[in-house]
Amino acid sequence: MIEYSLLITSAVLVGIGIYMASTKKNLLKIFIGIEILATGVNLNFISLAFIKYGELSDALANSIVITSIVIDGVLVGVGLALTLLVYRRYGTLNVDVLRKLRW
Amino acid sequence: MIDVLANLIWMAPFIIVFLLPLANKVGDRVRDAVAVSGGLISALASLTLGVDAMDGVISFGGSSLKIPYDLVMLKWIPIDGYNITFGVLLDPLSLFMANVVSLIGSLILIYSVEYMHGDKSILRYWILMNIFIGSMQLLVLGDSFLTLFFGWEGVGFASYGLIGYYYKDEKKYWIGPYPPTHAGMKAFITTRIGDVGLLTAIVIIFISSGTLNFMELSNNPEWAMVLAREGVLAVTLLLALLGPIGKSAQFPLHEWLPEAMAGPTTVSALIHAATMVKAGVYFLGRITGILYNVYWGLEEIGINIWSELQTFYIVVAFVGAFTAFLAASQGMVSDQIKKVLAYSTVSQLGYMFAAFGIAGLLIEHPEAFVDAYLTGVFHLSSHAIFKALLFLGAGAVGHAVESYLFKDMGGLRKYMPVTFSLMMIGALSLAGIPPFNGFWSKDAILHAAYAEGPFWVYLLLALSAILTAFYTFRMIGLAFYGEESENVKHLIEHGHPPHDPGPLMKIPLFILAAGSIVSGLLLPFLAGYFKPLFKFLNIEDLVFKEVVLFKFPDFLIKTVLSPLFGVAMVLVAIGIIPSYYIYMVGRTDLLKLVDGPLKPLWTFLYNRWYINALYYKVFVDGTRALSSFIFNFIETNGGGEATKYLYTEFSEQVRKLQTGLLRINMSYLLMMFILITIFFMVVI
Repeated sequence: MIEYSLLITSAVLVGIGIYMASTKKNLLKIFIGIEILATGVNLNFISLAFIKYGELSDALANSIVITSIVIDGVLVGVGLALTLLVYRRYGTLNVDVLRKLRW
Repeated sequence: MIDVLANLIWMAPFIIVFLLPLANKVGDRVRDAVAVSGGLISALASLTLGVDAMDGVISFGGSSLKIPYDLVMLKWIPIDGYNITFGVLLDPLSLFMANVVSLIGSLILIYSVEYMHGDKSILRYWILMNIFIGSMQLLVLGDSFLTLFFGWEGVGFASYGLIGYYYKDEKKYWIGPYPPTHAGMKAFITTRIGDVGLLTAIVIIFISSGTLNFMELSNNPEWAMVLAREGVLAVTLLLALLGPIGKSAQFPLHEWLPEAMAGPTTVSALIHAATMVKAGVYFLGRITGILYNVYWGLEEIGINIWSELQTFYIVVAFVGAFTAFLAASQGMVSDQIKKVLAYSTVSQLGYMFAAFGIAGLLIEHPEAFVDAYLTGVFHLSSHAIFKALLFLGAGAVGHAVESYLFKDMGGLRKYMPVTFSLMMIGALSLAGIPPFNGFWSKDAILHAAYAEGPFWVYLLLALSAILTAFYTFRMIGLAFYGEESENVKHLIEHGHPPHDPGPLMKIPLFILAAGSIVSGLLLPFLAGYFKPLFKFLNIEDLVFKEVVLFKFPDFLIKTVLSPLFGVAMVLVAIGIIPSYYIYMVGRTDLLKLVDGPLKPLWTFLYNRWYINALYYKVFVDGTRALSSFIFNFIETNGGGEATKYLYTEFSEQVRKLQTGLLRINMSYLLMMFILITIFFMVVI
């Protein structure tokens, strides 16, 4: 049963992440949503390894997830820096206003 | 106990490096003492082991080892059946080299205490010097090519830092048109070219043998068979030779050494006498020892690799003999005391290369092979002693007259009698006059070249012997004889006449001078010492037979009675007599020859056969032209504009796909997610 609970937790986390990222208007909140999504994916990955072997000892899954977490950390750094710069430049974080990419 | 001692030889200087910043806080004297102790501990340890190993067995602290012994310290890189270990190899060659390096190195460190006194960044100097000695010890003691390569690169790094020691590039430290930082860079880059070849060869040897350990390579000769069957043994060895050619400043990579004078004189002494350039000769000695065992090992199972080895050793002998001549000819016209010594180092290293080349060509005759091999090792040690003496003497002269140019010297004999007489001993040794050590070793090489080598090797070496005698006495004459120069007069007027250095600088000079008188006795002793290095050898057949020192009279009589002794004396006389008349007696009418008919030759030699200019033209200017081309046409003007234009156009088009609403982009992600889920549900 624990297997399903793990998978469901990660699915819920991914769902929350995508929901947040697609409905919120504040760039910072979207960013938090993406982070939750990434956490869900990581959890999913490691729980699949757990389900397969029955113990948390699969080095491959662990190492990939650790790498992923590290990259996430970098992502946070870059993302927050960009968010900060966006705020300094445009004075807002509302993504409906930030539509410069459009032609 | 033995392993602690053996590792202390190379580790002590590195440990001192970490203690130095702390000692610096305590006080100047403590710092200097700690720095010197690095070399002294290393010297003590290597001396203990080296003397102990004289009978082929090291017995110390209750245990005994039969040399050659590979003292494996740890499993370094255990991968897929290959087992690269890290250890210390105790064999005659490594112990002998360790002694040369640490003894000469310690003397130079003691000398530095006075020489570098009051220098602002002396802590950096001490750290780099200790790294230098430690790396060199790691290089000579390492038991595998990989360990050797680590030491090799450490030496390269330390030499770069020390040659460019005066990194502010004050005008007085310039060597010709080059500032010290430039000289350091030149040394580093030039030796790097050789290192690429060396590394390639190491990888090839590893692929063919599965090991990098010297002992295993020497005991299991199959790797050479594999390479010889593919026809790449000679190529591999020649690639490996590029490393020593770069490090030991042989033609065609010799151009960095004359500029390596830019650092403090003690650094030059260390580079020339004990570390750095001796690394290449050591490598050649090491690989020659291995190849000898491999050759005879393969011979036992009926495989002959002679033709491949011959190709290799012909090149070694040619490079050595030609470099000896090339550098000696350039030394005749140099205007700076340290530069003369630099050229002479290149030239003497050429002698050592030639000795090993001749040895390799004699690989089929074990007795003659070992004789020639030992002359190379012997010349290495005697060169280390007299060159250190000459450099430290030159340092004392430079210290006194605050310049290294000959035009700022002259007539110093009266003011610096001790330095003069000690340098004279070094000069006599370098010129090859008995009974100083340089004579014995050089004569032994000439002997081997004449008796066994190709004749052109002997011819080139004999010509170089004439030139060596000439430029040595020219150096002494210009510095110590003749009229006082303006600079010296100026110093005297201001109450600072040139004077002999203080005790800390004088004592190492005295020890080295004594060394260059007595170490000529070393050769008969070396034969017994190096015996364990060679398998398949009946030591009784050697010319220099047993270890015993009292056999020396035999050796002496053999050398002196040989007709080659007379030839060598004539050669030296041909060199010295003109030099004596021009530079010591001051017959300036002979100097007019240089201004008149010999002017083109002088220009040719002074510009170093235009090899340096050629390298600058091709490599430095070529690289600059290429980079300016890339900058002007690829990065900025043509290419840059085109790239910018293409990207702008592309993004203009792609923008039209965008709505600019982040929410829509996120819903694409959600849709994709759902699609994939459905896909898997349907399929599975």
